[in-house]
Amino acid sequence: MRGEAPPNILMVDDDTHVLRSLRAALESHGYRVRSAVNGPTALESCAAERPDVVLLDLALPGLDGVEVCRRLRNWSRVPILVLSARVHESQKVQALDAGADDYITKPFGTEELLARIRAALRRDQARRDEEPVIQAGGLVIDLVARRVTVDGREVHLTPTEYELLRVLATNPDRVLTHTQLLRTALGSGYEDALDNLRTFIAQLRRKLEREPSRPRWIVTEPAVGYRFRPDG
Amino acid sequence: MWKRAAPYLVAVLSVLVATAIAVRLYPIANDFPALLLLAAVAISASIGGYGPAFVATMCGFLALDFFFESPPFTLEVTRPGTPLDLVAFLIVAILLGTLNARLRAAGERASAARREAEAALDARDEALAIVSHDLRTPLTAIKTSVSTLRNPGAPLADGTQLELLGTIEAEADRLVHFVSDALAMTRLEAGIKPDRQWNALGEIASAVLDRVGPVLGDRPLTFDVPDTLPLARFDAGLLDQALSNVLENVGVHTPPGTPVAIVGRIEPTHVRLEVSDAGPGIPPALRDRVFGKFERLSDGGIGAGLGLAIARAATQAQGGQLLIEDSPLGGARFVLIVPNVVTPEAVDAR
Repeated sequence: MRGEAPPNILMVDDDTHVLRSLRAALESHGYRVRSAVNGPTALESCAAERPDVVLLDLALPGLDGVEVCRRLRNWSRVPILVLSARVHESQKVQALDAGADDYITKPFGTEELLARIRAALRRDQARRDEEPVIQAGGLVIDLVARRVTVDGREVHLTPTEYELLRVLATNPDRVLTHTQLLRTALGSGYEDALDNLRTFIAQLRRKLEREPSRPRWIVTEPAVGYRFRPDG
Repeated sequence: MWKRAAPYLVAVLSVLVATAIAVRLYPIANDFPALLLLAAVAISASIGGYGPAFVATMCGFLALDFFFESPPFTLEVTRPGTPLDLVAFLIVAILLGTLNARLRAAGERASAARREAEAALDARDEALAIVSHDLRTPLTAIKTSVSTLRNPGAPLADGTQLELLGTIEAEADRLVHFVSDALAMTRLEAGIKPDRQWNALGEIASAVLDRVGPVLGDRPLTFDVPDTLPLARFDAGLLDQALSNVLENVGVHTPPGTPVAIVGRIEPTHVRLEVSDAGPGIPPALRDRVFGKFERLSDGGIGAGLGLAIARAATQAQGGQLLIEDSPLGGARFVLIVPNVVTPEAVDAR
């Protein structure tokens, strides 16, 4: 959110009814809205208008939504929210791996969409602000000192566990795929080591969570990845 | 008994009738008896199949020899041509009998297939009727609410407006629920290849519980799926789908405030999840029916009666099974068993 100006949203969908109702919903909540009906126009519009958030439908004619995501990520870090009628986990993973920030399944309620937009804007702002300390309930992560405390008690993490926690916590409320987490924690080449990832996450939860089998901070998105819930 | 004996009786009778007619006409038409007896064999085969055809052939053979081959009224064979006549009769009778019996069997198979197809069509019509009802009802409510809001006869009170808007939203939600379920079922029925990955059972059960938790409301919950269980290889998405639908079913069909228990264990060859409730339970006679599509055995719930059908199809899609037992809590216990395919080779071995 730059200064006082209301955030600028680019909606990409080939259905004019969806665009019309979304526009009404978003404008009534104070957002400035632009729309594009296909991939190439969306990419042009992103370059020209520099939106604060992009709402992207996956099923676009011609240039597919996932490809739009990938191309956009070549030069932009703008938050991308995928809105899709496709519900299978593999499509979700594909979009997230291509660089989407979040994924909402159509149909959705306006409240849900607005909440996700606010979360995306917050994450983006936090990334710009580069706060050195993350606080989530009793969990405090000091990114400078690489120190983690739970309810004031210091927790000793291995370097891999710390990396996992850091990447999850710096992306609050965002689903990170198995591949993304493995690349961060173990480096490229280990993207298939899912059993290792499960073990690291279990260890991390045992050190942080009050009830490791019913985690509040590091939550599972079955068949997709993990998400850090700051208000856990 | 009578039904089974009747075709044989027909066989014997037709040979008798053929013989009686042939005895009258034999003096003027010498070849007639053999042909008439063959006709009796053909009829017996058409009516009764192989067995009666055989009986008719044998009776016909004896009748031919006894009445019509010289010397008559004895089974003795003296004329050199007689054995040839008899053997020819036998061959033709057997061929004719077999052919007719086979035709009859084919005809029976065809009508059985037709009956089956008709039954399937009936089931489809019934499903279609339910689908059409479940789609049209909410659409009707939405359309009439919108029309009223746009063109009210008299100005609407604020309360009425809100009520109509509430109806539109609730009915749209119902449609969403129904369409998602129908699509999920269609996808599972079309057949999908399980995507088996290393998973921790506990974190999946916990995530599903977090998501569908609201439908369980204030029911006291026992969660016994330890995070210390070994990892297992299975399709987490399909397990998620099965477990969510089972839990939603529990949420709809058990009284508020009654306890629910989830127990999960990993075995070397399979993963086992049990959901026990303290509701009314499901009598053994109904345990198969509750998994049927569009099966609504009791009121309650906004679903299309697809929840448990989806749960079972999702379990079976990765080679598992979903069973119902008596629950130690007094209600029903759903048992989800899914293969733990530790090595990719084990898939081929199955």
